[in-house]
Amino acid sequence: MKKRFAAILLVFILILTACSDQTEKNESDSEPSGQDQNGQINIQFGAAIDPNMEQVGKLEKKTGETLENNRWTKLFSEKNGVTTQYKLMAPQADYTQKLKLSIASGDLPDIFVVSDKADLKQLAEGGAIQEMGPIYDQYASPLLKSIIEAETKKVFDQVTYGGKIYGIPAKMPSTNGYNHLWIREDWLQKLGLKRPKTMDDVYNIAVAFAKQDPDGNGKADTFGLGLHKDFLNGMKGIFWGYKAYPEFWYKNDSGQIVFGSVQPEMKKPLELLAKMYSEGLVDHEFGSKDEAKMLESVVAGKTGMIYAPHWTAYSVEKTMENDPNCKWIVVPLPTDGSDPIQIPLSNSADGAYVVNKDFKHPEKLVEMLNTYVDALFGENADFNKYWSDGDIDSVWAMSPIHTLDPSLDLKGHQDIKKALANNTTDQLTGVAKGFYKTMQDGVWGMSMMFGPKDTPFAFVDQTYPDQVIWSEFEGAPTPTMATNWSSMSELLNTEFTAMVQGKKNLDSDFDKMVQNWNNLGGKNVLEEVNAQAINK
Amino acid sequence: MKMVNRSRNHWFSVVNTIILSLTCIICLIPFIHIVSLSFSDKAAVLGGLVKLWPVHFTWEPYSYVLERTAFWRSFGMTLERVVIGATINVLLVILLAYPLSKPNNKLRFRSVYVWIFFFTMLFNGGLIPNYILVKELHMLDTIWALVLPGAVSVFNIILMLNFFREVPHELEDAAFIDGAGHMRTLWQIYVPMSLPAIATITLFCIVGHWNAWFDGMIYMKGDHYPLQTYLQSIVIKFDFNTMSASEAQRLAKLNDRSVKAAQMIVAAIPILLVYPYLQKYFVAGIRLGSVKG
Repeated sequence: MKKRFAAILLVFILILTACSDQTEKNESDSEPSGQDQNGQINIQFGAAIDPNMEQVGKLEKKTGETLENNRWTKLFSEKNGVTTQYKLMAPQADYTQKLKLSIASGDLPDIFVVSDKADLKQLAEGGAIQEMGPIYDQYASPLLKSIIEAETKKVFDQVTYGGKIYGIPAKMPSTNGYNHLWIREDWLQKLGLKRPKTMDDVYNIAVAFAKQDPDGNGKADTFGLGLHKDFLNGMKGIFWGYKAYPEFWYKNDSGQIVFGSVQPEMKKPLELLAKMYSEGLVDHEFGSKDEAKMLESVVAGKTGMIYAPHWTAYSVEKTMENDPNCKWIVVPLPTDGSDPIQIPLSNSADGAYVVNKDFKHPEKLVEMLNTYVDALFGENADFNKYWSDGDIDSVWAMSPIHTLDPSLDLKGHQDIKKALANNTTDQLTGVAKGFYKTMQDGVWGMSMMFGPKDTPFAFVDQTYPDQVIWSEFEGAPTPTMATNWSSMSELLNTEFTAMVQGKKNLDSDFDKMVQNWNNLGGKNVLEEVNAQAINK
Repeated sequence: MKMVNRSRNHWFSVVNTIILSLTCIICLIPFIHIVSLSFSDKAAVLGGLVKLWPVHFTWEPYSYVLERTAFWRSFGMTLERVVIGATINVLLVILLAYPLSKPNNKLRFRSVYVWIFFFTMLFNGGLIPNYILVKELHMLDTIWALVLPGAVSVFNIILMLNFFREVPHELEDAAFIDGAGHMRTLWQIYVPMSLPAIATITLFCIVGHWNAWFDGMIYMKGDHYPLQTYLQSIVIKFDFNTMSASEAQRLAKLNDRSVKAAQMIVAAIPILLVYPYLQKYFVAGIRLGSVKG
């Protein structure tokens, strides 16, 4: 009998606790957010922050700050009278999924970030979020405007539907979209080679790196160029050298917006890769290797030349631990002809902030953004406090909202370069100070990215923003894209891979592929994209 | 003849041993690889130099994991979930399997009930209705969102039900004659006699709760992730084509496979310990000798 009662009791306790938990929750939920409460406005945010990231735990140990109660939330409370709470919070990939569920169940936060453009379109057209254009115009400080619109006004294209602006982009440095040519200078010197200026040089170096045993172990076990299956996206630089712009929308000479991946300019760089493949200069298994796998051979000292973004520095720096003599540099992207290189970039943003249609204080979003940029980049900014805390970085991202000066990284590089030349590194401020300190602390990746010479940002400094062409299409997927785009991309990826592997003939099969692509929906997409551009 | 038989048996066991050992090795290799990764130096791991033995042996990944508050927080979350969840699961399985194991004449509409339960095995409302249900019950971001939606596991009920049926009904009759009711019969006759089955089901429930990650991702806020959800968020492979540049940059900074491996190992240890402990209940023959004549 005892056992029986114990069992029943247990079930009841469980049910009771479940209920009591609910009632507590209910109470806190029932305070409608957006209502005044001690003069403060309570806002439920949705943010793609990873609460499990190392820095959050470290900061809590050091200063007791949490994501809901830290220097940022205090600042917003003082300056804007806003209490921060999170309704949705998860790492980026999970956040997108959770947001979709929230949209489907009609349970949205007050202010939240949306990174999937299709979601944004759905929210805007379904009337779930407020129009922000006039509010932005009225409340945004000149500093905020200068930061968000710094690169191009097109930044609002991605949040405009039916001529109305529905969100405020979380601006990030578009220089992240650069692709660089990384080379091992110690190998160049060992083999008596010069730095590449033209695409022919790139080819010759690849031959030497593959055939002349640069690692000196007597075995032919090195590759001329790192190649991986996502080369269309991850190795754009090799295409740019031939004025081919894969995965990019731009205006051709006749003013039409075209898609770079299907332009005839693609043939030459593909031909080069195919030639390297047939001569054994690249990994023959590249079709099944992703970038991380390719980087393994880089770190193991078997690959000495790669096309990759600047943050690859964090991976290639590890080569030094396996081979202390190695020296990686970045050279300006070589080109095919004499024309200066052009860098195709999209407006980089961490999604866009939008406001729930039921939230009564949409201006609070803009005011908070004003406060945010003021704290980091304003005249009386306290950059060091709000950017990081000692060795704990990413403090800037522990705010419910964020937006960064797009020239942040570049400025950091420029200031450091100047200070090193004038011997004034002790007077560095802002970003540069933080960068320089990390470099001094022996973080090689940092020096390899932002150092004064032969670094990615030295190249960015040469070319940005004068040689940049901005993407002509950054809106939500067009109707045909929404249904057909993934199979269209699949087609291009498999065909390009087959062409590099020599299974398809470049001259005859390229045009066939373009035709297939057009039939799959390419033609419609082009029309839709061009029509959208005219309507704007 | 005897000789032939013996050599046949001999060959059978040799081949058998070889095949089983190979299978065993195939299962073990990935595990050993992860263990080696977790004890290796970062650079060696990034260079793809680690195979089945640590390169530049180091404890560093483990000392790093020990200091990671997020790891232990999600570890605690999972422990809570396993204890509460498995208790509820096993309790409900026993309580449901008992009446359903009775013949039709003792429990009216028995097969209707069974079909209703069986129906839920084949069909369910789908992700979004489930989410809305959990939300409307105000269970989002509470432990109950992880525990209650899967509280009744029909598969286990069917297992248990079949096990109860094999209990000789003479025992039940004897109990009734001595004046026991259903509850007493269940808890004092059926449950003690079915310990092997209950142990198995408990193990299923514990492992199920331990390994579940998807519900954690959709119902819980990031800082309340259970362990496996947390692990998938750190080891997930991102699609280069859909990732924003700044996201890729942040991930590249965190690229530390030895620490990831160490976290996987630490997360696997408790569940590895549970197996041998529960195994001692898998002793057949408890029932032997209970019915005489």
